[in-house]
Amino acid sequence: MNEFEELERDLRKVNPKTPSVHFTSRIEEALGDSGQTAFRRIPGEDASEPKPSNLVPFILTLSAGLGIAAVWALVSFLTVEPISPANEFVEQPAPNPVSQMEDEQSPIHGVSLGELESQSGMPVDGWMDPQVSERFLRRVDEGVFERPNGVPARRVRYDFMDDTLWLHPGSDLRIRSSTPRQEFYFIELELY
Amino acid sequence: MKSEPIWKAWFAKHGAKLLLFARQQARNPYEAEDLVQEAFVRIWRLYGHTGEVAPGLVYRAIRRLAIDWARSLDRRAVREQKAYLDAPLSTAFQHSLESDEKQQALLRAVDRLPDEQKEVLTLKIWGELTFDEIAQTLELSLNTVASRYRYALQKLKDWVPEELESPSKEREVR
Repeated sequence: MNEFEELERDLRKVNPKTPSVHFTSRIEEALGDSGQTAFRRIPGEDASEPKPSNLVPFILTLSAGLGIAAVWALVSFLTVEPISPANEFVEQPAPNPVSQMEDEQSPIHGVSLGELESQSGMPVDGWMDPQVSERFLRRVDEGVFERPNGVPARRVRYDFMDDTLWLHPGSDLRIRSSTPRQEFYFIELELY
Repeated sequence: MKSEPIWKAWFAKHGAKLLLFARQQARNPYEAEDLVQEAFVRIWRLYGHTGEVAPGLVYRAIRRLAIDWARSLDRRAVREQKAYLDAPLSTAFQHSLESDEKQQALLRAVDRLPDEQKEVLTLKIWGELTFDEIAQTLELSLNTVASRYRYALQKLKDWVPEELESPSKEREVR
C-alpha cells in the first residue's frame, strides 16, 4: 500500500473553486462562433418530449414470447413421429464446391459464370469491361490524439464509395456493386 | 432533447482545475483568469469543433502563455501598476463551514510548499494528469516530476500535524 494513499485521498477531497458565471460568460464571448461548432444532446430535460415507458415494450415482448411458445408446443404435439434408427443418420449432401469458389470473370460475388447463366438466364458473353469509379462521401475530423512522441496529431477520416458497374449492351443489363472504403490521415499539430 | 455547446460541459469539468494551475503560473487571480481564457479559447478554436480536447493541451498552453507573458515588459508594467497582492493557493479552494480543521491544516501546508512542488502536486491531484503528461506540460524529466511529487507529499505528511497543533499564521505572529 502506498504510504501517501490517505494523504492523496484527503487532498482530492478538497475542491478547487469553480469558475464564476461572469468568467464563463467572458469565455463564451471570447469563443464566439468557435463555441458553437460542436453540440451535445441532453436527454430528459425537455418536458414537452414524452418519456418512453419501459412497461409497454416489456408486456408486448412477454405476450409475443408466450404466444410463440404455445404455438410451437401445439405443432410439436400434433406432428411428432417416432424416430426410426435407420433414419437417424441421414447423410447430408455436401455443398457444391463449385459455388464456393470465386469466379473472377463473374460479375456476382460467389456465383460462377456457369451458374449465373443456368440459373438467372443472364448472358455469359458480351459483357463490357467493368467501370470502376470512386465517390468521395465525406471528410470527418475525428479529433486530436496524443501520440507516443508527445506531439498531438489530428486524425481525419475520408469516406469513399467504390462503385463497379458491369454492362451488357446486348441485353441492356447492368449490375452495380458498391463497396464502402475509409482512409485515415494523421496530421501532426503544434500548439502554436 | 435539449442541446448545449460541448465546450460548456468540458469547461464545467476542467475549468476549476485549469484555474488552479493558472493561479500558480500567474501573479494574481485576475491574471490567472486571463491565462485560462486565452489558452482555452486558443486551443478550442483549433480543436474544439471535434468536441474532444485533451486537457493536457490546455495545461501546456497555459504554461507557455505564462512564460510568454512574463517575458513581456508591457504586461509586467501593467501588473506592477495594478499592484495586486499574490494570494496564497489555499484561497483558490472551496471553503465551507463544514470543511474540517484537518482540511484547513492540509491547505495551509500546501501553501508552504515550494512553487515547483506545488505545481506538480496540483497537476497530479486536481488536474488528474499522469506523470508523463505533467513532464510534458512542465517540460521536465519524468524523474524530476516524480521526485518533486514525492517530496511534496512527504513534506505535507510532516507539516499537517504541525499545522494542526499550531497553524502557520499563529507561528508567524509569534
